Amino acid sequence: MIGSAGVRGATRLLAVMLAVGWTASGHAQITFDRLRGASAEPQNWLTYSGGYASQRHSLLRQIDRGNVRNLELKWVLPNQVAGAWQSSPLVVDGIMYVTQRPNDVLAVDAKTGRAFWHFRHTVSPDARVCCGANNRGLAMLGDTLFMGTLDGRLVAIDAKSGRSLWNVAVGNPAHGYSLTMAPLAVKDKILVGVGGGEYGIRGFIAAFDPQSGRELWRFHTIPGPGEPGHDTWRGDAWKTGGGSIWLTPSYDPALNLTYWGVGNPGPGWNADQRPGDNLYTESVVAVDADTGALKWHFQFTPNDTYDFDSVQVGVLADLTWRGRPTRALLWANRNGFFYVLDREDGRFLSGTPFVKVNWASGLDSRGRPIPTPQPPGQPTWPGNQGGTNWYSPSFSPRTGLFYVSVWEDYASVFRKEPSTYVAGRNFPGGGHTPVSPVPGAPVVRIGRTSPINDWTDAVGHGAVLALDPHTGQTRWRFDHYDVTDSGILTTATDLLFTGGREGHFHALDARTGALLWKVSLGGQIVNGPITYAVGGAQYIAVISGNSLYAFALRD
Amino acid sequence: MLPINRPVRIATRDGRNVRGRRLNEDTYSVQIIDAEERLMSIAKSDILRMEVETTSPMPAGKDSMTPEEIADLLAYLLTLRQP
Repeated sequence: MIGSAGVRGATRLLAVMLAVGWTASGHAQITFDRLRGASAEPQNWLTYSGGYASQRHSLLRQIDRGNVRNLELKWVLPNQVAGAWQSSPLVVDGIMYVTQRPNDVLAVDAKTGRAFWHFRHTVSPDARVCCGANNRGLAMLGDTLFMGTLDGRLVAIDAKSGRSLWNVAVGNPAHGYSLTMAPLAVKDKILVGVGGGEYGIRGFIAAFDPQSGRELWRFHTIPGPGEPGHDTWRGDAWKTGGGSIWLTPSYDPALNLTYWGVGNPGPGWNADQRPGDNLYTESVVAVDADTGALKWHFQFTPNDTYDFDSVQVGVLADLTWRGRPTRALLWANRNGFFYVLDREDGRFLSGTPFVKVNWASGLDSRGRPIPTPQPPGQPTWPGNQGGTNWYSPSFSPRTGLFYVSVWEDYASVFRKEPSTYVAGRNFPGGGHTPVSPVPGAPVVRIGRTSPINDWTDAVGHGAVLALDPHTGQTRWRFDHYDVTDSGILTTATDLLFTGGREGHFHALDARTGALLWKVSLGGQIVNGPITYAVGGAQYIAVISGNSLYAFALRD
Repeated sequence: MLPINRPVRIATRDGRNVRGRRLNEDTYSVQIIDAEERLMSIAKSDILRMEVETTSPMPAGKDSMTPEEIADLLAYLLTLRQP
């Protein structure tokens, strides 16, 4: 029963809301139950990958194959900072939260793109990052946003005011530790992992208390003395063994397991300095969300010499595998193989190359590669950037297909060199040169910096592949002329949205790969599109170049 | 010559035949400059056939000049360099 004081209080609150023009849809805190049931509220995009299963598949149905050609631009949010904008926004009850370089957060009206607040984190000059001032996004729990920073910190931000609540050190930036991934909220913990694999870090995953920022557990991706897996290292190599984390894990609530992709060993290209399998680099590790205990691991590329970071987002899918219901983990790896694992125990179910592969002749019955290293100076397929990389794939339960952006006809010549570890300095152990059929001609580079393409598809080009998990075979393909670093979104109306370095944003038929709609946004698309709904309209949002674009059907 | 800038022959679906030098290309279009120095952007959906040539349209001419004439030509070309 509400007393008169309560009525007066509620009336005052309503008056205040009206006075400030508060028109957002009903606001409620983000709870673990909401995160676990994210697919039941498709108007929101509650985690980096849209839900714990990381399928990037939305149940929204307003935009479909028949009307997608009627999409029109609704608003644009420009970024004042140059460089690859790799962030994937969250949308919560009509508010979009998005990070931008280097470690800013914006809260904007998801219907109009107008900003509510702008949070800035000043990055320490000690920060060292190999590959740009990247940040991929946020987690939200309660009324708090969580962001990792380039200087190795975890920051909690009040989602209403945009003010910092706490800010704690996770790793030492002067030694190359950074956070570029979007954190994940699971139950009462915020989970993050550290980047810095090119700097000889000893990687780890950690859980933090969302109220205080206190560290609750830590799992080292490079096992120390006495820990299982330590015997895959010799001498002190483990101390600089790498094993970074770039991407948000997936999570299976029924198993209470988080699935993390682990990056390259250090030094990256010279395995002579680190003999052994080098666990848990180039692996997926299944880690208990409550304790940080390792349940199982699967290593994709033992003793890697190609920089085939296994940092991809693993996708959870429940399949009928050879007649048996199976909790599967789908993984298109940078090493060029598409894996299906049993996510309960890490058992290898299948592995099939999805691009040209010559560094291994295949996989054995347990999924271990059969190495075929190429002679010095000869090309290795896939090249250094891999058959795919960090950008998110998608899985549609409707089509049963796994969709991934890939690089094809792309090879590198790898070289190893001695490398001496110095804290905070690059620790490469060699390098690579992309191969061109025409000697001296321009080759694929990291990122697109000019509207003029100075290479041809002969040195590498992108494609979207629709892979059948049951066979590993490609059901259909959509070719790009340039390579692509774009993630993929699918919907319950069998639409697939993706982009590429050329700045085209396309909608494809998820069943056939047919092009249904496209728009030229100009700037490279290096993130995953998302979808959400507000005010009765479904929106598709994507970042291209230095701007975030939101599309919806013509009014 | 960079591969992206090689000569191309394009036959369009509406019956045109275009020759030029490729300036840029993406998934949906190709940009060229033709022999009359016209800048053209052609949608790939309008292209029936596109051939990329590996030889320059410039005449070879290496047998039509004496070594002295080639030296004179090079000397002249060097005078055109901006200070």
